[in-house]
Parts: sequence; structure tokens; C-alpha cells
Amino acid sequence: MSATTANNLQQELAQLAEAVRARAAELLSSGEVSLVIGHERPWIGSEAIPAFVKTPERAAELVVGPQCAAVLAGYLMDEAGHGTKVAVVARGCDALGVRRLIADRRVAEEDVHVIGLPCLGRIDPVKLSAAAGLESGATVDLEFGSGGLRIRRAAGEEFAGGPQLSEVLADSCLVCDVRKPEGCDELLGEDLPGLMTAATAPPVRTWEEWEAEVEELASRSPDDRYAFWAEQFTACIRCFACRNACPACSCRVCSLDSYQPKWLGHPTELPEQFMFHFIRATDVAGRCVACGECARVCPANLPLMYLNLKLMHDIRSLFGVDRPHVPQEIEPLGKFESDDPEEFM
Amino acid sequence: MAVTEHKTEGAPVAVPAGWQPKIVAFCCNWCSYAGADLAGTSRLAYPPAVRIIRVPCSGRISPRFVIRAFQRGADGVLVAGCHPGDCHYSTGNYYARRRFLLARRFIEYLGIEPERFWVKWISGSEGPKFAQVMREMTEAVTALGPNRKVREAE
Repeated sequence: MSATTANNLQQELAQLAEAVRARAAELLSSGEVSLVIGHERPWIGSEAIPAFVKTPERAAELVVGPQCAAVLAGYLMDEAGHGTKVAVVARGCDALGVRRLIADRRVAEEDVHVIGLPCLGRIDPVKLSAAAGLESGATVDLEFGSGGLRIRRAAGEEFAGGPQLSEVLADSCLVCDVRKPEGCDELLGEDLPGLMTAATAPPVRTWEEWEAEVEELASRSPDDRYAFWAEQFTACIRCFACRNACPACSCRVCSLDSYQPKWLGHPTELPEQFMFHFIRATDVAGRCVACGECARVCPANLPLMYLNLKLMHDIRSLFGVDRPHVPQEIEPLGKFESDDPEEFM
Repeated sequence: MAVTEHKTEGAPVAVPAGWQPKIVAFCCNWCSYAGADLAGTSRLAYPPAVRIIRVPCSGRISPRFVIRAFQRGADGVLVAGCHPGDCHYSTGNYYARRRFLLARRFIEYLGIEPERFWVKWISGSEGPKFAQVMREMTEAVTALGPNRKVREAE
């Protein structure tokens, strides 16, 4: 990345943030929407927190950029459908999540206003901590510099050298093909050539490269695979963060909360953990938008996308669905073809 | 109790003498359950390992039922429904086919041996096929030995 490109990116991100603030203030003061969901400071660790902006004045606090990690679509489950319109500041993954909720009839299209913006990807705080030698939970500021990202460890300090953005992006962002979001009510930043070029460039890696990790795991012996997942699931504290954050996991009443039938017992024993993760993954099979939010919010850092990815891989190869993460009106498991693969004769 | 060594893909597992597998078969009411009935009325012998759970349609069966069966002590699970085109509700088994094409691969991915989880289309007139599937499945599951994965402590 040349010095000018980097400076331009930094400058354009600032311009994009201004555009988002202006648009949010406009929507709120005209009364078109009653709430704008975006991101704001402070960083918690290296991530911005979700912002729920209800007044034009507060819109000035909105921020954009790679530190805006949380996928916002899931918040619509609580915030939309109360009689007034809600706007959501949406990268590609947010926009896919919104489309998912609309396709699932969980959120009404007329209740949402999607403000799309080009995205450079979201940082993975675990990767950032490792690459930059940060203490866990350290609060840092990032900007684009000539040699890659530059990090400021405390307010008032200078920005200093850091890793390349691609080294610290979340796994799902590395393969993202919707960094210029699809299906929004409006798209900001179209006048920012640097950002638009970066957002429409090919992803850092291909889906096939990511899925190769899944295939490697699938090629091990059953006992090795079981041992792998047993180790992962043992670390699960069953906080349900993955379920709660997921824009595809949107039932108003969750079968995991039911007592009759009781799918999960209280103890976090291994068979229960398998059941929990099996249900979580299979219930969003064919509807996962690959935003990676489940993995991001997991306090135990479980590789939950390895579960979703396996299902997506099989949906693609079995049912010929080209981009299984993009919501369709009827999802792959909600329909069939009479000539689907037959192996049960 | 006398104990023999059983080879699975992993470490040898101690198997109690006289151990017989437990196989849970989810059978659709209209075809496979009738097929099992026919096997019985035709006096066809098949291993007593199977416990049949009757369901309205193969489309009724959620993949989580399979995990629950393994949790509660099944050594093998069979999902059986009408042949494609024969569903009493026209399309239930087509949805089930998609679902279990995925679920079988996913269950295998989590580390459960594929030989423990079968899906078969068995019609109401296929009593011999039902008996045959149960014989083959019992044989395959017996060769693997008792299932210990995702199984709750007794």
C-alpha cells in the first residue's frame, strides 16, 4: 500500500464517517426514522460498541471503520417493529443479515432503512492482540499508515507501526464478497474512489481456501474429529452469545429455552454441549449469512464458523447453491428438487 | 463380567460379553412402519436390536432427534421413510432427503462413525427390505461396538 493510498483511505474513512453522521442526523430530524443503529466510541478493547442513536445531536458520535466489529443486523429483532422506522448503518454483512431477517419474516421491510457503506473488513481483536503484542483487552486506536495499520495505544500518544490490515481481519472478512453491500436503501461513499476500489477488489482469500481447513478436519479419522470437537465444546460456557447475536437465529421462542421438550439440561456436560452446538448450527443451515458474528462474540473463541462453513460447503456441492450465504426468498432447506442427490435407496 | 476386545477405528474398547447393540429406528407411519409390520406378519427374522419410533412422516424428523437418540444410549440410528414420489403428504420425504443429506455429513463431521447413522427409503410392501436393512445395520453397528460418543453417563 503506497503512502498516498493509505492517507487517502484514512481521509476517505473520515469523510465516510461524516457522511454517515450527516445522513443519520437528517433521517432523525426529518422524523423518517426514530432510531439509527451504528457504532460509537469508546472502543471496548480494540472494538467500537454498537450505538443506538435517537437524536440528531447524538449522530455526531457515530464512527465507521475496521474497528466497528459488531454486526448490527441482529439488533433489529429487538428494535424494529415498534411502529416507527429504524435505520441501520450497514456493511455487506449487516445488509445480508437484514435481508435474512426480512426473508424470514422476522422484520418487516417497511420497518427498516438500510444505509449501506463500503467496508474494508472488520478487525479480529484476537489476531490484532497477537500481531501487535497487545495485552488482552487493551484499548487501542487504529489508522491507516503508509506501511500498514498504525496503532495508538493511549489517547495523546503518537500512532506507531502495526500489522497489515489483512493480517488482522476476521476470518469471515477475508473471504467477503459483499464489502460493497447489496440490496440497501441507499449507499454512501460512492464518491470515495479509494474506499470503493478497496471494497470491490477481490477478497484476500477464496471461499475454497477457507473451506480447505474444513476439509482437512473432515479428512481426519472419526475419533480424531470427535476429539477435536470435544476439546472445543468443553471450553463452551453455554452463554448463548452465538445464538443471540446471529441474524439467522431469530425465532421469537427458542426451542433451547423450552422445558417441554427439554433439549438441553443445565449441566454443561459434553453430550449436552454437542447437542447445543449441533442444534445451533443445523438450525441456521442454509440461512447462515457467514457474517462470523457467532465466532466473534464467543468468549471461548470456539471456531464456530467451521460448523457453519461445513454446512455451507455441503449445501453448495449437494444442491448447487452458488452463494449459500446470500439470503434467498426460499432457503435451500425450505425447498427441494425431485432430482436431488439420492443416496438413501 | 467377561470382556472381549472390540476394534473400532480408535483405541480398542472393552465390550461386555453378550453385548447387543441398541438401534433406534424412526419409521414413517405410512411406509416404513408398515414395512416393519409386514416383516413381522411375514414372520421374517431380523435382529431384536431395533426399537421402532413411529412418526407421521420422515419430514417430521429433526436431525436433533438423532443426536438425542445417541445421547440416551442408542448405538445406531435409522431414519426410514417412503420412497421419493410415494410420500403420503406428497413432499415430506423430499424435504427430509435434503435435510438428511446434510445431517449425515454433519454428524460424521462431528466425529460419529457414519456406519451408526443410516437413512433408508422403505415402502409398505418392502417387509423383506426392512428385515434386510436391520440385519445389515445390526451387523455394521456390532462390528463398531458400543457407542460412547455424545452419550450421557448412565
